[in-house]
Amino acid sequence: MNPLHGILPFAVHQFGLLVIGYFVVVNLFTALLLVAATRNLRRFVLADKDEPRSRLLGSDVAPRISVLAPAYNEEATVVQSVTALLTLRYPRLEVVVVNDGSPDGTLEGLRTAFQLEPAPVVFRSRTRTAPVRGVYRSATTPNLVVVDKENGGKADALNAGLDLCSGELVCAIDADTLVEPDALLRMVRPFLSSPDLLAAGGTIRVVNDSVVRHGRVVQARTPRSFLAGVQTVEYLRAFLFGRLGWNSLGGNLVVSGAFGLFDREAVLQAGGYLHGTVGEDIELVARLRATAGPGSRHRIHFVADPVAWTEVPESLRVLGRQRDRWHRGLTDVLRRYRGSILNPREGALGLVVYPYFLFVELLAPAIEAVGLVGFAVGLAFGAVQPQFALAFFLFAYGFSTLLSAYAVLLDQITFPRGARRQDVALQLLWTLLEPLGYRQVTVYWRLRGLVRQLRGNTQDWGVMTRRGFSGLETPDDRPTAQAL
Amino acid sequence: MTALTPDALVHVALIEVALFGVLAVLALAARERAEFRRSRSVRRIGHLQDGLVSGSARAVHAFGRLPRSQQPGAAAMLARNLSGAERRRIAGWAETSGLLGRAERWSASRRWHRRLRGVRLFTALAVGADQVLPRLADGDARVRVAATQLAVELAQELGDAELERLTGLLGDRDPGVRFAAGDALCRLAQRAVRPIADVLADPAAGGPLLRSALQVAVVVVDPAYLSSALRLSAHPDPDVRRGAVPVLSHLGGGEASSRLAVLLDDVDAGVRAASAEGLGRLGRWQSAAALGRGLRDPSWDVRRASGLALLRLFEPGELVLLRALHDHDKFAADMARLALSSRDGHV
Repeated sequence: MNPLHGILPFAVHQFGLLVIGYFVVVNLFTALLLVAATRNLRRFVLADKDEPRSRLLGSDVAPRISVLAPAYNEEATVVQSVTALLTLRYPRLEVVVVNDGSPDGTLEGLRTAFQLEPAPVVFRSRTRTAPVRGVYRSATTPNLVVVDKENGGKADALNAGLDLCSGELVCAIDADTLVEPDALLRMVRPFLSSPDLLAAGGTIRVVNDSVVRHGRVVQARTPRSFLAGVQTVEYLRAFLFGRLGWNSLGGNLVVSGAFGLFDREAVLQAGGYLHGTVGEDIELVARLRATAGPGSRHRIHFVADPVAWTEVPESLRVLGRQRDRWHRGLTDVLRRYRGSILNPREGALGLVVYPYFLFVELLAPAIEAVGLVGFAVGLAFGAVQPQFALAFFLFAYGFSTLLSAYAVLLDQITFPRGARRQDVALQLLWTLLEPLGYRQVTVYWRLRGLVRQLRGNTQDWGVMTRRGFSGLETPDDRPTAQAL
Repeated sequence: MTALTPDALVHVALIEVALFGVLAVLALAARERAEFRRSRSVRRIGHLQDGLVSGSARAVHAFGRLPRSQQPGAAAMLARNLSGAERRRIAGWAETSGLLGRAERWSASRRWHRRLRGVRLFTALAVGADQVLPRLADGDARVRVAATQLAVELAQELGDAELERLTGLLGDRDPGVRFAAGDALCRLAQRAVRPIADVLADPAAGGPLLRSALQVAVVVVDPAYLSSALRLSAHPDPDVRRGAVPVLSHLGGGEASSRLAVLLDDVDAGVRAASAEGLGRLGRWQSAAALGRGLRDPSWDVRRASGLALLRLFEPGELVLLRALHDHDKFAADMARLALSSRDGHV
């Protein structure tokens, strides 16, 4: 008798136990995040009820906020994007656009539209940046500053903005992000009541298929294409209870690069954004918390209601590159800050947050892939009963869709944005479809990112092709295709 | 593993399917409810606004037909867009309809969110001083913040005791309350001068209270602060000294500028930088020599503030900067070059 016949079922059985144990632990933790997020949301909604949002407007003592907007080859959309930023509702606002050596007409477009005039400043370069060629201020809108510098990448542009801006708080946004008009008024609130706050993140939502006018989302819609649709659910789940839940469980490790508010001095003391990493947003947050040290100022807060909108990729190739890059960024950060993992001196950060990001976020694709292969092998050799495999799949699928549906429900209860019935129904449909195929493909992309990072490919951003908001923009004088 | 039989898993999966159905129905129902409320409120409030302001009995009756849970929000929304007699009319209607009675009960509730709602409703209607102002001492910071806003709405009715209580919140343990109190006092403008002057003159006042009061004093500038600001510019807490400097530079005058010149030698770099900036704002040419010394300061921030301040003194300052180009201190020479370059239009 072949001894393998005895060993293989035993090994598969043990392996199965391991995978199932992992699955149970991960989902229990997810459920814990969900409970924490629900409690947070309830408190938030109660405190927010009937609050006059305009209280901060006109305040002479509100902290000054500088919005940093790096721009590279944004000739077509930069004027519109900057106009939208200038109309953000906040009393002491400075918009700093950093032209990162664009060879196109980005600077000229700004110069013409806003009547830029040279406005030299004496500034200290506290971060590493490519040389600054000029600083301009708008003659028509004095709170607009444009920094023209040699090309150095996004982190470099943000660092130049950090050096030159005058705000106590800085809001870093991506050039392709649309920020809701009162997002800063909402986002600044935790800074007013918590002087130990280092940064605050807001919700990012998917703008694909929504109605956009003058750089503003006037009607939120659920995307109809499969890839954008399932990402809507993914974003909802990640922001509404993923990040919100972390507020009570050791604090966030991620503030999205697309929209985050930071204590400028803390960022400068930490050395600004890091060059040479593809996850500069998560790296900055990790470094801020590491620099602050245990027991000192190290809170990172997630605020559920300030919203920024971003366009998500609608092609597999581009999405794959994005997820690959995100995972390389996470791998890089966890490698850099490995000393914090399971370090009791770091408190909840070391004992809960970092282990979660390591075992759940980073290693999940590897474990899921091994689990899938193991199941397949087990089925092939008869070590796993097909009925069991099917039942387990149904159970896992059901749990996953439940979480997503709960996120959709929370969203409708707490932040109803005038969604149409068909949009909610479509979201629910995407919650059903997301675990079927899409998630497995993301496992592959993330695994690829992990392997590439481990093999030393650390800086390849890949080309991110987007339609751009000019494509999404809907003229005033005709109804949208979606509205018909 | 024994519990993980295929049958058990299928049963759990079926329960999950049922739960999914429930959540889906709830999500759709939540959307319908929100949409229904939104459209009805917008429509009714739009129709009612004029009627309620003119005191039309029909409008009052129609408003009474709004669901009770929506009435406070709707009344607040209407009142916030009005002022003077029109707002008082809405408040009068709220009283006769029993809405203010509810707000009063909420304000005394044991639950923080009810007290908060009550205080916010009173604030929106700009009434309820007796119910709300005691909430300046509420145990919950969010309620205290909301109560400060009514103080602004009722600026003319505030007595000395209320003003003192509001000013006392500048030293509150919660930073959010300190911010809200400071903001409220800034909006009270001249009414805030005396209580702020009292706080600044109080030798027993602590650091956080003084720092917040000084922030307000910069916005609501008054000569009444001068002697206190001069005294506080020698306070042992560097944050207090740093706060006193802009007050002095906004007040101006010989005493203030002499003191600012002295503060250029403070041990704290932040105080020195603020003093240099203040001297620049005052624009007194007599400060040029002192600011020239500031160009040799070990702190970059002080050197920068001194260089820019010298530019604001025009010829006397520029002369000092030109001389500093050949200073033996390379840092002073570098800052002078940067300051002059910025004047000439170079980065």
